[in-house]
Amino acid sequence: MSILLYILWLLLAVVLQVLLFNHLSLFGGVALVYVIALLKAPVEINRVLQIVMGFLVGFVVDIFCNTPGMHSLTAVTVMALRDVILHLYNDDPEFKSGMVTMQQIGLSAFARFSLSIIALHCLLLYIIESFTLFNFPVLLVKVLISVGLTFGFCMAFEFAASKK
Amino acid sequence: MENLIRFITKNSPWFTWLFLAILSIVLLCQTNPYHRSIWFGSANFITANIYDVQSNVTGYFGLRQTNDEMLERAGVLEAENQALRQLLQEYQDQGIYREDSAKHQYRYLIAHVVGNSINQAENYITLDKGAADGVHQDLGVTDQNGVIGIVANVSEHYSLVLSVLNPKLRLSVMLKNTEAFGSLVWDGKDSRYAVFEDLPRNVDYSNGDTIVTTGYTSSFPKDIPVGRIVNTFDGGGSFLTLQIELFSNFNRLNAVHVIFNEEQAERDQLQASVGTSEKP
Repeated sequence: MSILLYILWLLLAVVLQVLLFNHLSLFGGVALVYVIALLKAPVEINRVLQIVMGFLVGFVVDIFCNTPGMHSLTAVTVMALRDVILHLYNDDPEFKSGMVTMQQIGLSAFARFSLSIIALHCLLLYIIESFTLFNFPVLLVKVLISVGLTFGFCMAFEFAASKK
Repeated sequence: MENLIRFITKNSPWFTWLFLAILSIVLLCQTNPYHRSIWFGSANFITANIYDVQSNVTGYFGLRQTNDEMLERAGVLEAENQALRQLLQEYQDQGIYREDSAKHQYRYLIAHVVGNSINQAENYITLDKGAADGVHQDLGVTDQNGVIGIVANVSEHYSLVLSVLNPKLRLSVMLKNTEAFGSLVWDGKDSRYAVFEDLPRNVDYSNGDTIVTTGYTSSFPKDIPVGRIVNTFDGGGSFLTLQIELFSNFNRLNAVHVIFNEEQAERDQLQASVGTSEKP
């Protein structure tokens, strides 16, 4: 049930991304809300499945953005590393099921974990993008703004969800 | 053998990653929007339909300003029409004008923008007219203010347009009322500006001068407005680079014209036969 609910969350995040957040840009940077949904994936999901999920989500976003391969390569790579990064910040052997949340692994660990994933994602994404058009100041601004916005939304969502 | 199977199962996440990453890189390498499958872009049936529903809502935003621009444009065209009518009458009276010399070369189709981006390295526009409406590759697209882009790919009911805000589009442009031409490209920085490259140094111009299409490629007629000069970058050499403020507001595209050139096929064939066909 938790996984089904999660998949609905993931779908909602993709829809919000392509229909809303892609159009709200600040100096070229956008909030990548689908990454928030991806990084919170329930830990009981098989790693292979996590990677496939990352690819599919990226692929759908790519189709809407006309950037075939860009989001999918980024998301598939980030999802391949997600469990590795999660273990860096959380080594609780009891944590075997459920989504990655603030209550589950603690505020500090969650903030560091999500910031790592988001920063890795944005950096990879805009480096791949810059193969078509390299402009260092533009790249830097896009990465910083996207990381800031996405991390902001991530923490805001986390606090809002924990209040319930 | 057993070891190999154990190795593969143990590392299955990494193999999955490798396979999907290679697949992504293959997709990434299809850089030419003219050759890319329509399914991997926003003009495919499903994606375009979703965008269509969205634009039914957001399409009403900013209509007042669009309306004002249309009225202004209509006023300018009305005045021009009046002047041309008068001229035509004069020519007719003097017997210079002949009926068949006024063949209409261009035809316009109104389309609506359903999908659009301005913040990526390569931007595309999705229109709600496709092959079923006669739209095909290389047609020019304009709005009431100026040039928007060139059709790169079409599906049955939608088309994907290479926006001016896409470095893959090189537009042949010139200074209005002169023969000084160069090419317009986007430098990826700001959606309001593009760059006019290769203007010969000996040309007289000043900031605020209008840049228009040349008509050298079959996509656009001559003298479609593009933007105005706001700045000069002097990199030395015999050519200048100018910063152009675009007339069209890409943030707020709504209804656009797809331009059909009745002579395009004939012209492209001729240019291809002598090997001078210019493609963006």
